[in-house]
Amino acid sequence: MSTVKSKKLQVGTDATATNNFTIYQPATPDGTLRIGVGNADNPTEVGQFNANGYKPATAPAFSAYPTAQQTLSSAVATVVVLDAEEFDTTSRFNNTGSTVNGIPAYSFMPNVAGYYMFSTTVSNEVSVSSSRFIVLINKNGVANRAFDYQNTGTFNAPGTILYYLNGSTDYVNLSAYVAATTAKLNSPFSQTRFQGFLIQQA
Amino acid sequence: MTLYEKIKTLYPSLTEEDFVPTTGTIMLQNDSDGNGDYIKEWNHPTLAKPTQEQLDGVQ
Repeated sequence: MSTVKSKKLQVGTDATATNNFTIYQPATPDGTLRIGVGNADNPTEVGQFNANGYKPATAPAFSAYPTAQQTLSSAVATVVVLDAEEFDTTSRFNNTGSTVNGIPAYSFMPNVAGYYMFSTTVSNEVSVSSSRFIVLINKNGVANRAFDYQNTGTFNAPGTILYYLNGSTDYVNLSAYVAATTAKLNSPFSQTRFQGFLIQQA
Repeated sequence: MTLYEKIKTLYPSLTEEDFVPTTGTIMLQNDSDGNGDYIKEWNHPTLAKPTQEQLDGVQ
Protein backbone atom coordinates (compact mmCIF):
# COMPACT_ATOMS: atom_id res chain seq x y z
CA MET A 1 0.00 0.00 0.00
CA SER A 2 1.33 3.41 -0.95
CA THR A 3 0.60 6.81 0.53
CA VAL A 4 0.16 9.92 -1.64
CA LYS A 5 0.91 13.20 0.10
CA SER A 6 -0.04 16.46 -1.58
CA LYS A 7 -1.44 19.85 -0.69
CA LYS A 8 -3.69 19.91 -3.75
CA LEU A 9 -5.49 17.33 -5.82
CA GLN A 10 -7.21 18.37 -9.03
CA VAL A 11 -10.20 16.30 -10.12
CA GLY A 12 -10.83 16.63 -13.83
CA THR A 13 -8.70 17.79 -16.73
CA ASP A 14 -11.29 19.58 -18.84
CA ALA A 15 -10.08 22.49 -20.95
CA THR A 16 -12.66 24.66 -19.19
CA ALA A 17 -11.35 25.22 -15.68
CA THR A 18 -14.80 25.59 -14.14
CA ASN A 19 -15.58 22.00 -15.12
CA ASN A 20 -12.82 20.79 -12.79
CA PHE A 21 -12.57 20.61 -9.02
CA THR A 22 -9.67 20.90 -6.63
CA ILE A 23 -9.39 19.43 -3.14
CA TYR A 24 -6.73 21.26 -1.19
CA GLN A 25 -5.22 22.34 2.06
CA PRO A 26 -5.17 26.13 2.53
CA ALA A 27 -1.86 27.96 2.18
CA THR A 28 -1.78 28.33 5.94
CA PRO A 29 -3.03 25.01 7.28
CA ASP A 30 -5.89 25.47 9.72
CA GLY A 31 -7.28 21.99 10.13
CA THR A 32 -9.65 22.27 7.20
CA LEU A 33 -9.93 20.57 3.85
CA ARG A 34 -11.10 22.92 1.13
CA ILE A 35 -13.07 22.09 -1.99
CA GLY A 36 -12.91 24.48 -4.88
CA VAL A 37 -14.14 24.85 -8.44
CA GLY A 38 -11.36 25.27 -10.97
CA ASN A 39 -7.88 23.99 -11.61
CA ALA A 40 -5.35 23.43 -8.87
CA ASP A 41 -3.50 26.64 -9.63
CA ASN A 42 -6.52 28.85 -8.89
CA PRO A 43 -9.54 27.15 -7.29
CA THR A 44 -12.55 29.09 -6.04
CA GLU A 45 -13.63 27.73 -2.71
CA VAL A 46 -17.17 26.38 -2.48
CA GLY A 47 -16.89 24.71 0.89
CA GLN A 48 -14.71 23.07 3.47
CA PHE A 49 -14.60 20.18 5.86
CA ASN A 50 -13.55 20.85 9.40
CA ALA A 51 -13.71 18.84 12.59
CA ASN A 52 -17.47 19.43 12.78
CA GLY A 53 -18.29 18.35 9.23
CA TYR A 54 -19.05 20.19 6.00
CA LYS A 55 -19.39 23.94 5.89
CA PRO A 56 -20.40 25.61 2.61
CA ALA A 57 -18.58 28.81 1.71
CA THR A 58 -21.91 30.54 1.12
CA ALA A 59 -24.76 29.66 3.47
CA PRO A 60 -27.28 32.49 3.46
CA ALA A 61 -29.15 32.92 6.72
CA PHE A 62 -30.46 35.92 8.60
CA SER A 63 -32.40 36.85 11.69
CA ALA A 64 -33.82 40.36 11.97
CA TYR A 65 -35.99 42.20 14.44
CA PRO A 66 -37.29 45.70 15.26
CA THR A 67 -35.79 47.93 17.91
CA ALA A 68 -38.85 50.13 18.36
CA GLN A 69 -42.59 49.86 18.38
CA GLN A 70 -44.11 50.52 14.94
CA THR A 71 -47.36 52.36 14.33
CA LEU A 72 -49.36 51.23 11.31
CA SER A 73 -52.21 52.75 9.39
CA SER A 74 -55.32 50.67 9.80
CA ALA A 75 -56.06 48.27 6.94
CA VAL A 76 -52.73 48.93 5.20
CA ALA A 77 -50.32 46.06 4.61
CA THR A 78 -47.15 47.63 6.00
CA VAL A 79 -43.62 46.32 5.70
CA VAL A 80 -42.35 45.58 9.19
CA VAL A 81 -39.42 47.79 10.17
CA LEU A 82 -36.69 45.27 11.00
CA ASP A 83 -33.80 47.59 11.73
CA ALA A 84 -31.60 45.22 13.74
CA GLU A 85 -29.98 41.92 12.90
CA GLU A 86 -29.10 39.05 15.15
CA PHE A 87 -27.04 37.65 12.27
CA ASP A 88 -26.81 37.99 8.50
CA THR A 89 -24.23 35.56 7.15
CA THR A 90 -24.05 36.97 3.63
CA SER A 91 -25.03 40.59 4.28
CA ARG A 92 -28.08 40.25 2.06
CA PHE A 93 -30.68 41.55 4.51
CA ASN A 94 -31.28 45.29 4.24
CA ASN A 95 -32.09 46.63 7.70
CA THR A 96 -32.63 50.20 6.50
CA GLY A 97 -35.59 52.15 5.13
CA SER A 98 -33.86 52.74 1.78
CA THR A 99 -32.89 50.48 -1.10
CA VAL A 100 -29.29 49.29 -0.60
CA ASN A 101 -27.38 47.40 -3.30
CA GLY A 102 -30.67 46.78 -5.07
CA ILE A 103 -32.28 45.32 -1.96
CA PRO A 104 -35.55 47.08 -1.02
CA ALA A 105 -36.12 48.38 2.49
CA TYR A 106 -36.21 45.72 5.21
CA SER A 107 -35.91 42.90 2.68
CA PHE A 108 -33.78 39.81 2.09
CA MET A 109 -32.35 39.26 -1.40
CA PRO A 110 -29.98 36.29 -1.43
CA ASN A 111 -27.25 35.89 -4.03
CA VAL A 112 -27.57 32.11 -4.09
CA ALA A 113 -30.43 30.51 -6.02
CA GLY A 114 -32.36 27.89 -4.16
CA TYR A 115 -35.12 26.99 -1.77
CA TYR A 116 -35.42 29.10 1.36
CA MET A 117 -37.41 28.62 4.54
CA PHE A 118 -38.75 31.71 6.32
CA SER A 119 -40.36 31.94 9.70
CA THR A 120 -41.73 34.81 11.72
CA THR A 121 -43.69 35.95 14.67
CA VAL A 122 -45.23 39.40 14.75
CA SER A 123 -46.68 40.88 17.91
CA ASN A 124 -49.33 43.56 18.02
CA GLU A 125 -49.68 46.16 20.76
CA VAL A 126 -51.13 44.97 24.04
CA SER A 127 -53.73 47.72 24.34
CA VAL A 128 -55.04 47.43 20.80
CA SER A 129 -57.94 45.20 20.01
CA SER A 130 -58.08 44.38 16.33
CA SER A 131 -60.72 42.58 14.36
CA ARG A 132 -58.13 41.36 11.88
CA PHE A 133 -54.43 40.75 12.26
CA ILE A 134 -52.69 39.34 9.19
CA VAL A 135 -49.02 38.55 8.70
CA LEU A 136 -47.72 38.40 5.14
CA ILE A 137 -44.43 36.96 3.94
CA ASN A 138 -44.06 38.57 0.53
CA LYS A 139 -42.01 37.47 -2.46
CA ASN A 140 -41.10 40.35 -4.75
CA GLY A 141 -43.62 42.57 -3.03
CA VAL A 142 -46.53 40.22 -3.61
CA ALA A 143 -48.42 38.74 -0.71
CA ASN A 144 -48.34 35.13 -1.86
CA ARG A 145 -49.32 33.84 1.53
CA ALA A 146 -51.31 35.43 4.33
CA PHE A 147 -51.44 34.19 7.89
CA ASP A 148 -54.85 35.45 8.88
CA TYR A 149 -55.84 35.76 12.53
CA GLN A 150 -59.35 37.08 13.04
CA ASN A 151 -60.88 38.75 16.07
CA THR A 152 -57.64 38.86 18.02
CA GLY A 153 -56.50 41.23 20.69
CA THR A 154 -52.91 40.97 21.85
CA PHE A 155 -51.29 38.24 19.84
CA ASN A 156 -47.94 36.95 18.65
CA ALA A 157 -48.83 35.85 15.12
CA PRO A 158 -46.66 33.12 13.63
CA GLY A 159 -46.01 32.30 10.02
CA THR A 160 -43.70 30.10 8.00
CA ILE A 161 -43.24 29.54 4.28
CA LEU A 162 -40.91 27.98 1.73
CA TYR A 163 -39.94 30.00 -1.34
CA TYR A 164 -37.74 29.44 -4.36
CA LEU A 165 -35.54 32.49 -4.92
CA ASN A 166 -33.48 32.99 -8.08
CA GLY A 167 -30.36 34.33 -6.36
CA SER A 168 -30.34 37.59 -8.28
CA THR A 169 -33.55 39.64 -8.26
CA ASP A 170 -36.00 37.78 -6.01
CA TYR A 171 -36.51 39.25 -2.57
CA VAL A 172 -38.65 38.55 0.45
CA ASN A 173 -40.00 40.82 3.13
CA LEU A 174 -42.46 40.78 5.97
CA SER A 175 -45.55 42.90 6.30
CA ALA A 176 -48.43 43.15 8.69
CA TYR A 177 -52.04 44.20 8.28
CA VAL A 178 -54.00 45.29 11.30
CA ALA A 179 -57.58 46.50 11.22
CA ALA A 180 -57.70 48.72 14.29
CA THR A 181 -58.01 52.38 15.17
CA THR A 182 -54.49 52.52 16.57
CA ALA A 183 -52.45 49.68 15.18
CA LYS A 184 -49.02 49.02 16.65
CA LEU A 185 -46.45 46.26 16.47
CA ASN A 186 -44.23 45.37 19.38
CA SER A 187 -40.49 45.45 19.12
CA PRO A 188 -38.75 43.02 21.43
CA PHE A 189 -36.94 40.25 19.58
CA SER A 190 -38.81 37.76 21.72
CA GLN A 191 -42.09 38.96 20.18
CA THR A 192 -41.37 40.14 16.63
CA ARG A 193 -38.71 38.62 14.41
CA PHE A 194 -38.11 37.44 10.85
CA GLN A 195 -35.69 34.68 9.99
CA GLY A 196 -34.71 32.76 6.88
CA PHE A 197 -32.13 30.34 5.61
CA LEU A 198 -31.17 28.35 2.53
CA ILE A 199 -32.40 24.78 2.59
CA GLN A 200 -31.09 23.62 -0.76
CA GLN A 201 -29.34 25.26 -3.66
CA ALA A 202 -31.10 25.10 -7.02
CA MET B 1 -57.22 61.21 7.78
CA THR B 2 -55.67 57.96 6.60
CA LEU B 3 -55.83 56.61 3.08
CA TYR B 4 -58.20 53.90 4.25
CA GLU B 5 -60.51 56.48 5.83
CA LYS B 6 -60.49 58.64 2.70
CA ILE B 7 -61.44 55.69 0.50
CA LYS B 8 -64.16 54.67 2.94
CA THR B 9 -65.49 58.24 2.85
CA LEU B 10 -65.59 58.22 -0.95
CA TYR B 11 -67.13 54.75 -1.07
CA PRO B 12 -69.14 54.04 2.12
CA SER B 13 -70.34 50.73 0.69
CA LEU B 14 -66.87 49.21 0.97
CA THR B 15 -66.40 46.80 3.84
CA GLU B 16 -63.37 45.66 5.80
CA GLU B 17 -63.35 42.49 3.72
CA ASP B 18 -62.63 44.54 0.60
CA PHE B 19 -59.26 45.55 2.08
CA VAL B 20 -58.09 42.17 3.37
CA PRO B 21 -54.84 41.16 1.63
CA THR B 22 -55.00 38.25 -0.84
CA THR B 23 -58.80 37.89 -0.58
CA GLY B 24 -60.07 41.47 -0.84
CA THR B 25 -60.62 43.62 -3.92
CA ILE B 26 -58.40 46.48 -2.79
CA MET B 27 -54.92 46.34 -1.33
CA LEU B 28 -53.35 49.27 0.46
CA GLN B 29 -49.64 49.11 1.12
CA ASN B 30 -46.81 50.90 2.85
CA ASP B 31 -43.27 49.79 1.98
CA SER B 32 -41.77 51.51 5.05
CA ASP B 33 -39.44 53.39 2.70
CA GLY B 34 -40.68 56.84 3.62
CA ASN B 35 -43.19 57.12 0.77
CA GLY B 36 -46.26 56.42 2.88
CA ASP B 37 -49.46 54.50 2.21
CA TYR B 38 -50.58 53.87 -1.35
CA ILE B 39 -53.07 51.84 -3.37
CA LYS B 40 -51.15 48.78 -4.52
CA GLU B 41 -54.04 46.99 -6.16
CA TRP B 42 -57.57 48.02 -7.07
CA ASN B 43 -59.68 45.17 -8.41
CA HIS B 44 -63.13 46.19 -7.26
CA PRO B 45 -65.72 44.99 -9.79
CA THR B 46 -67.92 48.11 -9.76
CA LEU B 47 -66.17 51.00 -8.01
CA ALA B 48 -63.50 52.91 -9.89
CA LYS B 49 -60.09 53.51 -8.38
CA PRO B 50 -60.17 57.04 -6.94
CA THR B 51 -57.91 59.63 -8.47
CA GLN B 52 -55.35 61.49 -6.40
CA GLU B 53 -57.48 64.59 -6.81
CA GLN B 54 -60.48 62.81 -5.32
CA LEU B 55 -58.41 61.57 -2.40
CA ASP B 56 -56.93 65.00 -1.79
CA GLY B 57 -60.43 66.48 -1.81
CA VAL B 58 -61.68 64.34 1.07
CA GLN B 59 -61.85 66.31 4.30
